[in-house]
Amino acid sequence: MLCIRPEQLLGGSTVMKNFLLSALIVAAVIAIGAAGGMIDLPWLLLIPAVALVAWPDARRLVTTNEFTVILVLVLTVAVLVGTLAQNRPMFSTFWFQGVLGLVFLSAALCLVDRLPATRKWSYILVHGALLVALGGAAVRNYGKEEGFLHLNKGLVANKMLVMKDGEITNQARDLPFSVRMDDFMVEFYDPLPKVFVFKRDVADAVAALDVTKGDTVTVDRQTFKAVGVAEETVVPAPGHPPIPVTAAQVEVNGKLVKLVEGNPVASGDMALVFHQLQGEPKVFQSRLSVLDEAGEVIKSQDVVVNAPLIHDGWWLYQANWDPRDPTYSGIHAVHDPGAIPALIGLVLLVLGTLAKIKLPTARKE
Amino acid sequence: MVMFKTMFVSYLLAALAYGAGIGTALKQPGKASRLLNILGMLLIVAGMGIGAYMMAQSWVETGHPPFRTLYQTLIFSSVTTALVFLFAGRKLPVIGVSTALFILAILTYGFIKRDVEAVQLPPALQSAWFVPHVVVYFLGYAALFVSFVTSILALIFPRPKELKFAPALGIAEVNFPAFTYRIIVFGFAMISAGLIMGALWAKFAWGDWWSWDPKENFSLITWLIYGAYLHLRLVKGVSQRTLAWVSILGFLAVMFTYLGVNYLPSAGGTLHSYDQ
Repeated sequence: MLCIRPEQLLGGSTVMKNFLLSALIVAAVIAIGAAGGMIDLPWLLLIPAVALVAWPDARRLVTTNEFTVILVLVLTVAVLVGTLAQNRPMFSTFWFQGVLGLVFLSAALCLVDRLPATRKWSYILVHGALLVALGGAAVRNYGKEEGFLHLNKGLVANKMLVMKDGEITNQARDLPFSVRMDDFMVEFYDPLPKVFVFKRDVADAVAALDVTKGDTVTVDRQTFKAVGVAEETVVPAPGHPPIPVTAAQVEVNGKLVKLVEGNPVASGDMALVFHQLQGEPKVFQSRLSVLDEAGEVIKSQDVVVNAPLIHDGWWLYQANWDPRDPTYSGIHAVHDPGAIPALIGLVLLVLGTLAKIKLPTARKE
Repeated sequence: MVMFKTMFVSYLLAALAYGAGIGTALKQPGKASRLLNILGMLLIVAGMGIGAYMMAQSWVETGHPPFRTLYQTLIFSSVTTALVFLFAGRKLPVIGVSTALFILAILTYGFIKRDVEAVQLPPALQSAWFVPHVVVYFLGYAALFVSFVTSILALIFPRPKELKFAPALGIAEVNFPAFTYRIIVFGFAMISAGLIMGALWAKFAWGDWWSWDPKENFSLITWLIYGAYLHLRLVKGVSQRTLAWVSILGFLAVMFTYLGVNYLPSAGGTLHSYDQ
């Protein structure tokens, strides 16, 4: 068997050689992954994986801390570049998957080859957790399906529009069940009454007073203090009956001024405008029922953001609503067989890191 | 604003008290310097108490955890930084003065970025994960700040025992590399827990536990840097200076993840941006 020891390839210290050889291995995997991506042969990545497992010296190198440091460094730079370049598709490329595969392989070999010598729970948990989490991530990459359902109250759907890279496509796909939207509601927060202060020759407001909070602001030696909101009546034209309006009360340099919504009031070279900003949605909620082929209800649930309906491996999320159509609800459907293993792996990872904690006190050190 | 100003002044006085304590100790170590250090610590406790009260008041007023805006998280960050200092660094005046100065910087930034609206909590943030996710992250950040300070000290004073003024700074008996390692282990565990709680939350809110969002990515970068530190420490022959530099780099990544990501062109696409 061909057996070249790292020490034979390079002079210098073993640590430095390990660093350099580790860098070579990671670079080779990236190159093979990139080539595999160009000719659409991702399985090329299996070649270095098999070689690293079968070649004893390489296998030993892959379990060293030097290899891990190089691998983590490369991963850090790759994530940094992908993020700064806003290149999200980069994270799906074969070469990047190859680097993640190396993390998996290294953690696996660390566990297998070093387990007899390492009986620390934190070590076993962290490296085992990485395997489970990355395994789940790999299953997700190749087995995840997701789509979108545009539903209206009373509508039944058994197809979704397939989503790719977060975008809804025109391609429809059958769901293994039907979904009926029984009800939909949106609840808003109360409107926010605000008074905006504008200065001559400045396009944007120079200050905003929250009327409910009683904000005070001083601009160019003029002091504005929000007092509150009151229901008033105004007569829009002579002879016209009074109509009710909401008005903000503001003290301008100690003098009370009433501001009717949308009607600017001048104060020196400044102007005050009162607006009641639309409250944000507090809750949007669909009552969904899952139906079988015979149209029988299998499951019913109120679905809100953070509380999806889970059925048969599918997660149905409250994702959208339409201010112009109060009966519309957008439902995001996800089937990810890798999610549960990945999440279990991540929880184990936390337990592993927590197991390493010994609370420090400076003096004892 | 009165509470905020009082808190700011409290930390300012804490920094001055610690600074005076160190200065006095350099001239003549004794009771006066010890009293000034105790005063500094008490002022940090006072500042922390005011910060905690402000948060509690906001929570009661709005009915939701006060972590919605950058300003609110900066206040919380000052509380956790003070808390971790009290647990891990209170015996070192030099960490005390660093903590007070760091919190003053945080509060100054918070004053510049103070919010005008924090009443409405969007549906995505109405989750049981919200509080634990934020709390463990900020505890982690605070611990990593302490490691940042001790790493700088390790670079400046590689052999503290040989220094004449080491007792005055309270660093004579401290093994900075070992202390840094242990505080990083704590911080790393906290940011790991924060990262993973975030992933679990994302799975329940958005359908995917990881979406390569800029904030997620920088959290991962921070995690990887500290992961590299923990492995590099085990490599034979790696100097303490190198480790200290990695620790410093790690904390710079922490700060960028917390504050810098908001300024990236891609920040608009993040699900994590603060209301400002």
